[in-house]
Amino acid sequence: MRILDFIKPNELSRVARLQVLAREIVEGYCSGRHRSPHKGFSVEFKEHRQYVPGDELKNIDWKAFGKSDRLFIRQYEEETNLRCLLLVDQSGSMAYAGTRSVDGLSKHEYAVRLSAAFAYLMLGQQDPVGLITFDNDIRRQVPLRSRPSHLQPILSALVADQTRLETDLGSVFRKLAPKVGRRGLIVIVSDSMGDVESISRALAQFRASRHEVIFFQILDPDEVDFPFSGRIQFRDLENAIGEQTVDAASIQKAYRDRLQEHNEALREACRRSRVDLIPITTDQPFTDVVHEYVAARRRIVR
Amino acid sequence: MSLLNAALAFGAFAFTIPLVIHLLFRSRFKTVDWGAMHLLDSMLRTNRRRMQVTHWLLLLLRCLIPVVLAFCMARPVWTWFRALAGDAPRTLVVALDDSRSMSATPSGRPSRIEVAKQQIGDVLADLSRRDEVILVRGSRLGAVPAKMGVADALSALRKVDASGGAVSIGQLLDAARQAAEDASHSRRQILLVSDFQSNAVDASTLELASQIETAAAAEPESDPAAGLVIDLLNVGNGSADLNNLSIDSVTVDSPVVVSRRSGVYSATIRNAFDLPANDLRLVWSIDGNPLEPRVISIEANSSVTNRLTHSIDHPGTHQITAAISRADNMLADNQRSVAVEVMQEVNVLLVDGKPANQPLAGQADFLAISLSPFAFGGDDRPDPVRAAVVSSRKFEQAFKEQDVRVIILADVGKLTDSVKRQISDFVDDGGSLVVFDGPDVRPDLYNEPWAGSHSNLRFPAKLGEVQGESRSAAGKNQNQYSIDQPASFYRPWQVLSRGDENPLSDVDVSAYRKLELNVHDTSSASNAVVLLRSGDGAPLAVSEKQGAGTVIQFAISGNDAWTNLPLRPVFLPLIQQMVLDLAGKQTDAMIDVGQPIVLSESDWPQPIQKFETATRTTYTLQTPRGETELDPPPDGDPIRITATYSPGVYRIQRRTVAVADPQHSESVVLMRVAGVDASESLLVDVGPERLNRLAQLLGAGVFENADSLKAVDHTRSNGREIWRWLLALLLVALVAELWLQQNLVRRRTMETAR
Repeated sequence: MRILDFIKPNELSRVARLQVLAREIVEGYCSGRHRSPHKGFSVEFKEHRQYVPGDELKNIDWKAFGKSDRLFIRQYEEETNLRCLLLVDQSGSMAYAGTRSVDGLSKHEYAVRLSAAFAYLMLGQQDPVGLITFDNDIRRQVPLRSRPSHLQPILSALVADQTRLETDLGSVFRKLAPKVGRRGLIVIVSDSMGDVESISRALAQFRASRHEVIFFQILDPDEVDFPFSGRIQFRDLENAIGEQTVDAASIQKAYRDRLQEHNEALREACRRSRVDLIPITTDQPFTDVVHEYVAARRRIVR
Repeated sequence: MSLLNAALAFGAFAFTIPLVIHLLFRSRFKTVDWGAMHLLDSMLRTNRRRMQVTHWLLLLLRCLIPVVLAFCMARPVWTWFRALAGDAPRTLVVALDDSRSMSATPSGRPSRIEVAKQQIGDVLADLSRRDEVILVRGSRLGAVPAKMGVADALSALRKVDASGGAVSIGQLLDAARQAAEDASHSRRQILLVSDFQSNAVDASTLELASQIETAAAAEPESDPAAGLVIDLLNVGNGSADLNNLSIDSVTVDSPVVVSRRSGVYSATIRNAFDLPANDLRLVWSIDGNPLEPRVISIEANSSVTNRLTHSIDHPGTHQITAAISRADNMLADNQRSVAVEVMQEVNVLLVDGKPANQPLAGQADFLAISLSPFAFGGDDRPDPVRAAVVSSRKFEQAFKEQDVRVIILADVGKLTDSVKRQISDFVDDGGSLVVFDGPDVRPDLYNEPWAGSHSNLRFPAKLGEVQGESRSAAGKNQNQYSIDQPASFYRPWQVLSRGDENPLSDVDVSAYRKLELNVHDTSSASNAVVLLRSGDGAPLAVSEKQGAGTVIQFAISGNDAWTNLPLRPVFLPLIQQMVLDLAGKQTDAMIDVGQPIVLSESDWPQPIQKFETATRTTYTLQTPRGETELDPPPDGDPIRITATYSPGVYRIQRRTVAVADPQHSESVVLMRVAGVDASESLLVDVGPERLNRLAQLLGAGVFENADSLKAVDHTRSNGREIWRWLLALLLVALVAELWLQQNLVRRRTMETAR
C-alpha cells in the first residue's frame, strides 16, 4: 500500500508545500522547525548569561571569558517537534455520499484523504504523527512516531473497514483524553453528528490538558441544503432509527433550521473551548481548506 | 333518492383514479441512505402523524371530487321532499278571482287579470294530457264548474275578463274545494289566483281557512298522493301606487221619480290617489244620451258628491249614468249606472170614512189637497201624486180601475171582509197603507187581523181609548198636547227639520187615540217603529213592514178635528214626502253583477192591447255583450237570467204576437242594471301578515309567479333536485384540495420549524 493509492500525486505535491505550523509551541523530543520555549543546545545562538555554580563547564563560552575575564554560558534556541494526533470518525453517518461531492466521495473517504494528507505532511516535517479511528468507541490506534515509514501503519488504519456504528463523539473523546499524553495538536475529522453538549464537554477536557485542537466538521452539500423533494425513504446509515418515508419538501425548512441550530451550538461549544472549528463540505477540494487554515494559523503565531 | 341520469352515476368509479395514483405514488419512492438522521429524527417523530392525516385527507378529497362530479351530473333528486305521487294524474282546480279589482292595470304593464291568465297558462303548460282542469271563477260561484282538459282550459281562460263583483277569497276557496271533491283524480290541487285585496281576505275567509285546517287535521293519515294541495298565486301587490278614480255610487235621491218632474240624482266620485285630480270631466247621461259635461276637481284621497236634477219625460225604467273621463289605472270603474223607475204619477186612493158635502169638512179633504196641491189650485204643473177620494163603499170599484200605490184610510170605521182582503193582499204585494184615526173609528176593526189570500194583515199598534176631546168640543180650558220632533231616522221627514228647531212646535193636539205597540202577537217579531210622539211620549204615528208593503198608523185625525196639524204649512211636505216614500219603494231594477234576474208575471206592465185570438210570446235579452233569444218559461214560472256576469244594462223584451195576424203585436221592455260593488275600486292589498296567516292556516304556499310555483310543485311531485348542492360541494372540495395541497402542508412545516 502506498500513499499514492489514497492521494493523487498533484494533491500530494500541494500538501507537501503546506507548512503546518503549530499555534503554540509544543515540547518535542526531536529538533525540528518548530521553535521551542525551552532553551537548549542547538544551531541558532540565542543569548549569553552569567555562569552560576552548578552549570556545566562545557557550556562556558571560553572566548568571551578570554575577552572579558568573566564566565558566561552560551545559550542556543532549541527547535522542537509537533506531536500531532489525528482523530478520524468512521461511524455510519460518515458513509453518506452525495452526488455533488468531489469525485462522489463519501464523507468518510473524504476524511481519510484529508487525514492521509495531514499525516504525510507531518511526517515530512519529521513530526510525530498518531492516529485514532473511532465510532462510538475507539476502533484503531496508531502510536505517535516521526519516522517516514510510520506513514504506512497510519494509512492502513485509515483504510480499515468502516464499522457503520453510531457516533458518540463525547464519550470517545472523554476516553481518549487521558491517553493522549503530552500536550500537542489534536486534529478531529468528523461530521459531528451527536449530542453537542457531550462534544462540548469533551473538547473542554482536551483544552484543559492544554492541547491544540482543530475540528474539521465534514458535511456533505446534501446535508447542508437538503435538496430532496417528493416521497423519500430515509434509511439510517447508523441503523439506529430505521426507515422513515416522508414528503421531503415538506420538512426541508425544518431540517435546515435544525441543522443551523446544531451548527450554532457546535460553534458556540468550540468558541468556549478555543477550538478551531472548520466546517467543510465534501464538494470543496480539501487541500484548499487546509491551506487557508494553515495560513491563518501562521499569521496568529507570528 | 333517485337519479335522472342514472348512467352518469357510474362515473363515480372514477374515484379509483386518484386512489390508484395515490397507491402507486405510495409504492414509488426514492430511498436515500441518510447519515444525518440525528437531525431528521426529532421532526419526523412530531410530524409524521400529522402528515399522514393530511395525506389521508387529501386522498379523501381527491376521491370525493370525481364521485361528487358524477353524482352532480347524474342529477339526483331527493325524494324525501316529495309529498305527492310524481306521475299520477291530477286534477288542478284553478280558482280565479275575476272581480273588478283584477282589471287594475299598473302603468306600462299588463292588467292583473292578463298577468294571472299568463301565469295560469304557464302552469297549465306543465300539465300532461291525462290531467284534468276545473276552472272556478269568482264571478260565477253559483255555476257548476266544468271539468276539462288542458287545451279547453286554456281556451276558456282566454275568455276570462275581470268584470265580476266583489268576491271573498273564502267563498272562492270554498267553491274550489267543492269542485275538487268532484275531481276525477285522487290527486287534487287548488290554485287560487287573486290580487288578494284587503276586503277579499276578510274574517270569514280566515274562519273558513281554519275550518279547512281543522278538517284536514281530523282526517286520518292517508296516502300523500291523495291529499289536497292548495297554492296561492298573488298577482296583486303595489296597489298603493295605483292611481284610481272611481264612481263609487250613483243614487236616486228623490223618493220617487215622476215623469216631467225633477228627480235628484247624485254620484259619489272618489280619488284614491295621493295627488289631487283637477278638471275632471263628469258626464251625466240618461239612457245613453249625454248631458252637458261638468268639470269637477277632487282633492287627494277624498271623494266628492255631484248632484243632477233632471226631469224625465217618459215613464218607465231609465238608465242614469255618470262617467268621468280620465285615464287612470282602472278604467272599468270610471262609469256607473243606476236604473230609475219613472212613474207617470203616483196613484193614491183616499178612503174617506165620513164624506161631507162642505169643503174641507170631509175626513180626507186636507189629505187630498196636501197630496195634489197644484190640481187643487188649478195649476197646470203636474202633481207627483194623483189623489182620488172615495167612500168606503166605492172602494172596490176605484181600486180596480186605478194602479194604486198607496191607500189612505181616513176615519174609516167599517169595511167589508172583501175590502179588508183586498187591502191585505195589496199590502202583502208591496202596497202601502196609511190609517188616520177619527171619531168614527172603531178599534175592533183594526185590532183584529185582516184575513188576506196568503197572509193576514196585522196592524202595528192596538187602538185604545181616545185621549182628550175634539177641537170643536174643547174650549180653551181643554188640555192641549204638543208633538215632539219627528223621529230622526225617518228619512222622508228629515227635510222638515231645519236645524234643531222642532218643525211641529206650533202644532197642537187636542185628542188622540192611545196606541199600544206589540200587543197583537208576541210570537212574531214586531218591527214597529214610532215615527211621531206627543210631548209626553205617547206614540202618534207607528210604522211597520207587512209582507212586501208598509203600514203606517196615525193616532190623530187626517183633518182638523183633533189637531191643527192640517192647518199648518208643515202638513203638506209631511204627508207628501211620506206618501212618495211609500210609493217609491218598489224599484228593484238595480242588481249586483252575478245576481240572477228574476222576472215574474207581476213585474211586467199590463198589456195595452187586447188580443182576441191566440198569441205567441217571445223574449229577447239584450246584455252588455249582445242580444240573445230567451226560451219562454213554462206557464206561471218566472223568467230567470243567471248570466249577469258583466256590469251594464240588461233589457228584456217581451213581444206578444197574435198567431193569426203577425202584424198585430206588442212589445214591452224591462230594464235591469247590474253594477259592481264600490269596494272593488278601493285597491288595498291585504297585509303580508294576514296573507301569511291565511297561507299558514291552509298549509299553502304563496307565490308571486308561475315559475316559483312550478319549482315548488316539481319538488312536491318528484322531490328536490340537489345537483346545485353537489356542485357547491364539488367546488368546496376542489378549493379545499388546492388549499390543503398548497397551504396546509407548508403551514404545518413552519409550525414544526418553530
